[in-house]
Amino acid sequence: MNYLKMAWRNTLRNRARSLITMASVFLAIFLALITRSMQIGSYDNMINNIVGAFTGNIQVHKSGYWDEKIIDNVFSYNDRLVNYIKSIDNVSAIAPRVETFALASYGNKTKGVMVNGIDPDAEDKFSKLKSKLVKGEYLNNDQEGVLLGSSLAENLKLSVGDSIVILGQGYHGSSAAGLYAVIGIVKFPSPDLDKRLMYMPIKYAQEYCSLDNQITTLALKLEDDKNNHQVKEQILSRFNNSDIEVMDWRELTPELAQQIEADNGQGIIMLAILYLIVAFGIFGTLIMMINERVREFGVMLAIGMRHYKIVTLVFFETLIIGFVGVVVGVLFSLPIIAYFHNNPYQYTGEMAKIMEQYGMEPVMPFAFESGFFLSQAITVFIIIVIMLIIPVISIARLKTIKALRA
Amino acid sequence: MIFIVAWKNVWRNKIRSIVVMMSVAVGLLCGIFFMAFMNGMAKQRIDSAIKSEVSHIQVHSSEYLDDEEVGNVIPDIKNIEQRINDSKYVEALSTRIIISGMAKSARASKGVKIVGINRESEQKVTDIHTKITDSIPDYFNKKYPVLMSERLAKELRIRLKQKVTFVFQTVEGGLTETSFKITALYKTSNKVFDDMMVFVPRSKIARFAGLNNNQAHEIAVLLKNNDDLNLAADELKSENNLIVTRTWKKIMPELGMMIDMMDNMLVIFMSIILVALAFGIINTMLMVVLERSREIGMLMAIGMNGKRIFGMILLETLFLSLTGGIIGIIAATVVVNITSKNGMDLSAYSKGLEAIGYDSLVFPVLDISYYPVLILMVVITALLSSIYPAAKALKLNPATAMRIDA
Repeated sequence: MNYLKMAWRNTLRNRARSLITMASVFLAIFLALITRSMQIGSYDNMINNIVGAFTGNIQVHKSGYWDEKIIDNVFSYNDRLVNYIKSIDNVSAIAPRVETFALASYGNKTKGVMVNGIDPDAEDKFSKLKSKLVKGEYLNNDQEGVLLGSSLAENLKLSVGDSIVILGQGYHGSSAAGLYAVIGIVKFPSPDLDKRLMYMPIKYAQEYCSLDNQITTLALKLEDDKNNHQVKEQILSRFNNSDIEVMDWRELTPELAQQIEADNGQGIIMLAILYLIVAFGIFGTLIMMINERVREFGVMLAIGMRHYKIVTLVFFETLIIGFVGVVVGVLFSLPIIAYFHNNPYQYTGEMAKIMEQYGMEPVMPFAFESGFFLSQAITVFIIIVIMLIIPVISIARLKTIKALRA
Repeated sequence: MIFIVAWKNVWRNKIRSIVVMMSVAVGLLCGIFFMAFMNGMAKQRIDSAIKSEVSHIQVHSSEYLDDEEVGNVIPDIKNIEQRINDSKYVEALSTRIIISGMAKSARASKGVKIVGINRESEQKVTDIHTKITDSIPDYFNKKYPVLMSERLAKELRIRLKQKVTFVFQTVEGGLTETSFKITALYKTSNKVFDDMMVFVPRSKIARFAGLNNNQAHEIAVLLKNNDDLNLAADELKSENNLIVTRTWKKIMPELGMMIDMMDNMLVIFMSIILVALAFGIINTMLMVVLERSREIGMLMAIGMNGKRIFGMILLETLFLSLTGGIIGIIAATVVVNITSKNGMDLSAYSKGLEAIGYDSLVFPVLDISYYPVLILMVVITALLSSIYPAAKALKLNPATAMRIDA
């Protein structure tokens, strides 16, 4: 027998009711897809901006550095290490850094700065530092000079061509001091970074801190963040656990990871509530439908139809309603998601400013993942199956005679 | 009369009515509780930020905001203090000297903000004194005492009663080095705060920095009531445009925006829930009209006019939804009240929440003013969902409707 055909005709029997139920499924799917792709898209944006731009997906330090960010916690940066890490699949860029705090003076002004000793080419590949240059020239490995954040330069009242004195602590308690020419000014969207960051070629930073070929941080960028666990394992397996620590961005920026997690949790709970209500709606529809058709089922039973066949029929009817709701929901949300995926929503006003302060582009691209459509469809399917339990039991218990008289 | 008929009609098909009521009740319960939870979490975050970090209002010199330079002080501070103290909104104020500098120990150095405070007035404004984990007796009454976080002390590898050296710039522009003795250690839930802030007596640091008694960088103002925020800010605003008065919403725009968006979010989220519920209500009422076609036809035939039929269906819908709605709201109130007394412990789920400044013990709250809004929203939903079924009832032709066999 052709269940599907019968079920389809049955859904058409009470068009208004079927349509309304479909509409409720549609609403849930539509909202679910839009809000989830917004959320996931904005997380990707956050991760790409913050992690991809500076922190990296993974960082390698001497073990203990993260808890105690002092210049004594350095590790040796050699070809063996570089070659090994570069050989790992998925690693798309690496950037060695010497990071240390220092006081920078010019004239009678003194400011606390974060000194970043970098490999100019690697760093540009990693965080596009060159593109942030607003004045002067970019660093060069063989030129002793520094780049300053634009607010820092302003606060110190200096410009390209001036020389700056920095003073801090070097390796093993030695004091570190140096005089450097400012060769360029960089501008960071985050005011906090812009007031504090200072870059110099890694060679000179090592010299300043009395280091040999050692670094505090090796930042890694991955092609796909999904593999970060695997890459971490690979690095750890090669080196002695007690010598280095390998941390992913979740550990490096727990605030970001936590914020994403909390926001994600919120979104999921909201959708769960929405789905719960839709489930109630489907349940109500099923109860009504079955009550209304007790006599019809009685007749079917009387002429020899088996209970399970009626159950199958009802199952298909519900499935059709759910399926149409899902398909229409996907069809309606797809163009919207696709549009905003390719033309990310631009924040304006206050919100844009806040995002820039956190070093993020003020845009919200929508995520476009096929797995995501599937998971929503599966959710609806599961809801339908659960909501069918009670109606199915009541059909299974139908007594032919009683049903006929209903 | 029509009220009683409608009410009785609601109970003719008990199961169906109860399913609808339950869906409305559960939908509202989940929605309201979730909103109260989010609201509580946000309020706590803000309260703790106000209490521990920013206070309600801060006063700075405009230059200081651009450049945290030791010379950028608020001039003639006594006068301003006097004016603030005279305001009826103000609970307390604390005047601070804030100097960026470097903390040095024999082993390490870190960038810090040296905050010069008067212990008595600081206690009235912030709760930092409650976060002290270890101290010597009468810790602030020593010669050169400093209150520092456990984290920072650990990073500098120094302990209580040991000395730390601060290097910072004086008003004249030279660098000065002074030693302070750690007399107390504190710990807050905010790592960034802990890493940066060290507290010393204002009079002592003023002398080293070359400031007089009538100069400081910041006045933090605690209000009696946050509701007066804008009024108080207006009143305290200085005519002198060299002095900037900012509210916490300005200082932490992301939190200000969050709390401003909270009200909108509640309305939007509840609207979505109610739209989803409306589908169920419409379906049920449609079913009611269909099932009672004959009865409605009869009522029309014996002279009940369209207005009354319409009114009857409308009232039935209203009773159905409101009963569910009120049950839901009452249940939500009870749940919110219980959880707001004891708090909900989230520490098991997200150990990192504290890293972003949230308490892991959440006390859901919902302002009493939301309840009328919620009831109004339920009523509007009911009215809107009754239109289609009631119109359908009106379209019945008494002659044919009475012949329907059911």
